Amino acid sequence: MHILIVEDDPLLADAITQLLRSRHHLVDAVTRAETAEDAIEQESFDLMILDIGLPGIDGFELLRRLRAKNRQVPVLVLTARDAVEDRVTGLELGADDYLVKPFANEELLARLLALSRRSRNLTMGHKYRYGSLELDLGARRASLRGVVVDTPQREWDLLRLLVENEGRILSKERIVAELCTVEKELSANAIEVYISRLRPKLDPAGIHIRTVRGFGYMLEPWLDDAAN
Amino acid sequence: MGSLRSRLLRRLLLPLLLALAIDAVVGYFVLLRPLDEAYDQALADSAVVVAGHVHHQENSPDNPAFDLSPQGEEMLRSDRIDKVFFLVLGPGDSYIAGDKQLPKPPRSNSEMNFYDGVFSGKPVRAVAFTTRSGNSEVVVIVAETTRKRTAATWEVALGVGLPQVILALVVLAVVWFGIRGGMASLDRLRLQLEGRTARDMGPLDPSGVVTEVRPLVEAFDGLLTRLDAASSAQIRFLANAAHQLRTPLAGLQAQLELAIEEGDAAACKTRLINCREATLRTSRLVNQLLALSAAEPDGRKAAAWQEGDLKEILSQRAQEWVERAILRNIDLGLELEPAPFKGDGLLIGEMAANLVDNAFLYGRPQGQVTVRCGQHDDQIFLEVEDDGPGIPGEERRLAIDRFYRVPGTDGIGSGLGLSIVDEIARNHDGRLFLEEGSQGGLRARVLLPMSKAH
Repeated sequence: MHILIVEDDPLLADAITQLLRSRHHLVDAVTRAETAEDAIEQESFDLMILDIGLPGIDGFELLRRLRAKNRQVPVLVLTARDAVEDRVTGLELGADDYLVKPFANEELLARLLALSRRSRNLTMGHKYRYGSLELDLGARRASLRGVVVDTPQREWDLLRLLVENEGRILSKERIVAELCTVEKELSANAIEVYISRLRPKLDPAGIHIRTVRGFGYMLEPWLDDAAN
Repeated sequence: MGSLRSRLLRRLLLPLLLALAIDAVVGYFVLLRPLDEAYDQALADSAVVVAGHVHHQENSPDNPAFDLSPQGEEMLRSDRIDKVFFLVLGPGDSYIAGDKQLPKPPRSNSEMNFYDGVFSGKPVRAVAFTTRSGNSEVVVIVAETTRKRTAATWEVALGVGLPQVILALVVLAVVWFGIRGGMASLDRLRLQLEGRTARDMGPLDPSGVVTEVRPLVEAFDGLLTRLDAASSAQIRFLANAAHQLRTPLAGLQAQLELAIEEGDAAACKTRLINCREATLRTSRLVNQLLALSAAEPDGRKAAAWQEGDLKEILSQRAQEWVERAILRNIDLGLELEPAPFKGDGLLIGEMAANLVDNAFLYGRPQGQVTVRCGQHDDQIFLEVEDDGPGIPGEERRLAIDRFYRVPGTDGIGSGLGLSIVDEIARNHDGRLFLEEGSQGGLRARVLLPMSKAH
């Protein structure tokens, strides 16, 4: 992937650059928002890692400008401000994810991968990939290593929602809200049933739906195709 | 706002002018009018006297005669101050006697007809007395100049108006100079304040301060007391923070120096891993210190308080906690029911984060941690339970104290977590309770008042 890092702290920028290069990504690092704006005009990036506290124009403002110009590059915001308002502001301005400093390298990599796959899945439009799982949105068909998996409509909807939100927890309430249709009500208990039906179909491929006890479910970020 | 003096004067001036105007009107009606009427009456009396000298003539019934002797006329005309004139007219305004040029009365039906006019260039007051002599109508006009009336008007005006004007001037002067006097006590306060250093937070000396300004002085003293409390809290906090940060930084420095000198690559790696641990501890400590500074009394005021729901706040943080739980192989459960409160959502979130942190750190490795929230009677609760060793009963009270560490736990914690939780809970009129969990671990339970808005 081609990744742009906008971070003014030299130690941190260097560490992230080395980390990503060691995973075979192409990395450009700049220290100012103004430079980042020019870079994005000239080249296309798959991802941007954006620090909020920059000298001159800050990260929020850069994000606002990019989205105003309809630049759709996925953005992971780095912030030293552990404040809910800041996270909300960032996400409202069009950030795709955020990470609070300091963070573990593995955490950053996992977020970047999930983010790039989510955005790729969404831009590709007709196909989602997660490990060896492929979802054909047009045909509404799931396949594992090319073998079609039998997924009735509810299970399909649920699987698609999970893959779409790879790496994010989905509360049962949210799943119910997303999957409910006018014709058919859906209960939290029903969700459990669908999950329990999906699991044996996915487990052989090493795909595990994690339960967050009492709260919901998530697909952990798929890490194996890291250099992809 | 403008100056107090000009505001007071502006407000006083209009009522004063109004009072003077009313006084003039009252003065006229109460004093001047009766006087005027008395003079008019005297004039009317003269007219009646003059009319007494008009006689009916038998031989010429339509031509009444007038027989005032020169001495009589002299007496009539003599007045101490004014000049008196008269005119007697017969039927059809035919001249009988007197001053021909006297102004004629306006038309009127009354027997005594008073009016004002001008005679030989001077203003006069006149009365026309209509009477009969035999069959013929006779009009007797008596007029006098207005000197004594004018003099009387001035006397009344002076007698009534002057004291009023003097009173008004005195009031204005008292306001003008009185305010300067009142302000002098404020000036003394100013000097007191100017003479102070930033450390001097004692109360002001209220002697010589006017009563009206006392509440201001008291309010100011209250502010000083609060400032004093906030500033000592900050000084204490800064000292604690610096002291606490020194420890992990010292460890970090020692480990780094060893790593630099280390020849063996594997041993070097061990040192570096230790460095990472020290760094993690430092950042956790910084986060806690930030939370603590926010929770200090007067750190964040109730102005930031809003309606919130604990369920929402915990749901927002769930992602972060679950990720960390996965890294540590901890089974994190969240059992969240609506729990409305009024308060600082950020601090409440920080409070929960500290409890979850504690459970991750001190609970059983690869154990179970459960976060719950909901309503209980008219309170809401937040509960974080682990299945670790727990805290023995006698230690629980101490565990809440700042910088206290439960014996037997290794040096990972700062001893701040629970005191942050306790402080935030108390800020929100709530309490932190430490209990034994259902699986023998620790159950930290916070009770807060439920918001009435829901």
